Amino acid sequence: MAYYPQYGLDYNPEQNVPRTKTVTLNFKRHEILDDLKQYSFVIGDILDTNDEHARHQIQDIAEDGNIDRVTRVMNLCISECREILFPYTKEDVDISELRTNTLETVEEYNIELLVPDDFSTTTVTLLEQLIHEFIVARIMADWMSITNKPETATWLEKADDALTKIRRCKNKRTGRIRRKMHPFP
Amino acid sequence: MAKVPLTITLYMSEIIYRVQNKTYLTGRSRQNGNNHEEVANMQNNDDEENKNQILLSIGNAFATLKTKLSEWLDESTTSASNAQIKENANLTLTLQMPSNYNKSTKDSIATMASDYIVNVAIGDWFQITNKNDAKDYFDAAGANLASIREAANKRIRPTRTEVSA
Repeated sequence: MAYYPQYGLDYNPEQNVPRTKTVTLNFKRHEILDDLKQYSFVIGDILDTNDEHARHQIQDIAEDGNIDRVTRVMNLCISECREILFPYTKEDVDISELRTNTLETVEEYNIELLVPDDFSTTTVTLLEQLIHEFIVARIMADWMSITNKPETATWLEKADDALTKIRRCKNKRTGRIRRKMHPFP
Repeated sequence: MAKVPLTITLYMSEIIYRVQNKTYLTGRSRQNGNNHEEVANMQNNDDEENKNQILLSIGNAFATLKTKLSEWLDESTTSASNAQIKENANLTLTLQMPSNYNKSTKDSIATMASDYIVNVAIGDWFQITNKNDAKDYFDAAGANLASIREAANKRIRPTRTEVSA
């Protein structure tokens, strides 16, 4: 089989279209936090209780201390998305790598994709919106599991739904899929 | 998110005046022509033994208040004692509220904290001088505490951060 170094080692001209286009999905931390704060405020506001303490625990999702848990889950979500989009995000490990569990607060997350040349821009848009939705829903589910258990399932369902759709996006193409010709079995 | 500092100062002179005024009015309204001594005892004044009892009650009430507000209190000292509080020392609460704390309730917290201390002090005083009325003041103090917690737990609706180009 011919080797096309510009398309990577796994490129097969019979099955794949060239991959020369890069897409960067940029996620701003404050945009995610703003959504989290809004949703938490509403959930706390409509909570059927006179217990103001229970209410404020829900609404204080982005306050000191609480924000650390949010950051952990946010980092995890981004890593999870990068892993799901593995065919486009794959990076080889260095010869030697050291990782620590130090909490890192990142103001902007980038997910770099090397996509097939026929990858649709509409899919990119959908992907970006689904990943944002997934991150927000997953963090909400986590926070609700701590402060307001009955709401957890709803947010988990939203997160799983977004994740399923992200997986589907991964396999979308604009070109026709052709069955390979095998004249002899 | 940065904490919002909230300092509440309760003036001792104001608290003592309100205790004396309320006990005076209560005594006056309980007069029936035959209970002059009881009425006089109800009416708290500046005599040393009276003042000491009120200061003791105010100190106890303030300590309880700090326990109830401990979630937000910012105190780093590691020593405490049972020394009686001074008549000329104002009571200060330095709270570190979350960034989404609803600041419109700060006056409620100050007023309710003052009311709580006054009600406990009068309740204590009436336990000695006018038992029939004491429970009412302790009940009122309990309601004050609930109001303080409600006010301190109020939150504002978040506003979206403007995206810089």
